[in-house]
Amino acid sequence: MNKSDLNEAELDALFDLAREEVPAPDPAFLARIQRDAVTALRTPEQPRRAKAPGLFQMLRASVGGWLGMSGLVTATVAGLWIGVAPPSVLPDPAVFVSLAAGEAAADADYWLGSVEDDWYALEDG
Amino acid sequence: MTSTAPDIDGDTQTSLLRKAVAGDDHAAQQLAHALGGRAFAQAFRMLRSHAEAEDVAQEALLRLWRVAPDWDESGGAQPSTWLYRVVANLCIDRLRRGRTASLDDDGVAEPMDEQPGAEARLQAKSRLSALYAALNSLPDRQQQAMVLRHIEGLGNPEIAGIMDISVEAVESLTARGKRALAQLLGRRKAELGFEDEQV
Repeated sequence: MNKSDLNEAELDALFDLAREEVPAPDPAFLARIQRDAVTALRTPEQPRRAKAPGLFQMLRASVGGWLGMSGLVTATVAGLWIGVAPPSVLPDPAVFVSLAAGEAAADADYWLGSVEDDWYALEDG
Repeated sequence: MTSTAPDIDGDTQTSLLRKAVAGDDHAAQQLAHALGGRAFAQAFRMLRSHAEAEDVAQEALLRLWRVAPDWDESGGAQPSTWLYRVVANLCIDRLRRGRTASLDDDGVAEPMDEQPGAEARLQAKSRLSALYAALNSLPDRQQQAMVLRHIEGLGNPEIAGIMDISVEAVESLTARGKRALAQLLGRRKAELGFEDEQV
């Protein structure tokens, strides 16, 4: 530091003066920023995050809205009703079930028998 | 500082900000009052204009309210530290846009602690003008560090947080700033009345 420079105490005297000098903020300014704060914080400018659609909404959308949804429900109820109490013009489904079960058992016996024959043929060379 | 704004600590600021975001109008007003006073004082010291200091403080606070809902997720700095940085940047932008820092007599308010005589008032005014002229001739970062350290009275770690630099860098900026001021103002020693008195 040169001799002609301000010394530490002289600089501090200037800083002290600057600290004392700032005027008080205007009351109208303070009122304005308080109003701003309340207004800005009441209406944040953030976009609302879209809620993910639920399972029911996705199903409804996939069948074409409420109209598709009512058709689907009607068809489901009708199908259930026909299954439980079939009209007399249709054959009894229980017969099909027992017939199908019998055929399936016969098929299984035949298949297992042929596998057994192949196995013995391999063993015999 | 002669500002009427109440001084509130960092934890209280953060707590008030959370309440304000949750819809507490009183907390929002209390925080705006406290931080607005500080922001105004800081801007006034850098810009030397009452009207411009109000504009900058208002703009900085609006930015604070905009980020307030995400405050905790953004790193949780003290609101006043964040605000100091925004105010400093806004002031520097204005100064860079070609605005000559109003170092004319209108920009320097009267010292308000005592009621000195006319001669002493004139000398105080002339000293402040010289100080701000010298500060404004420093590089931006030096100027900002000097104002925060020697006029705002902040500690080096807080200034480092505001300026986003290390404490050592703050020390270096303020040391160089102080040397530059001593030299610049030394040329006006007699004019400023420092040769007639023992400080």
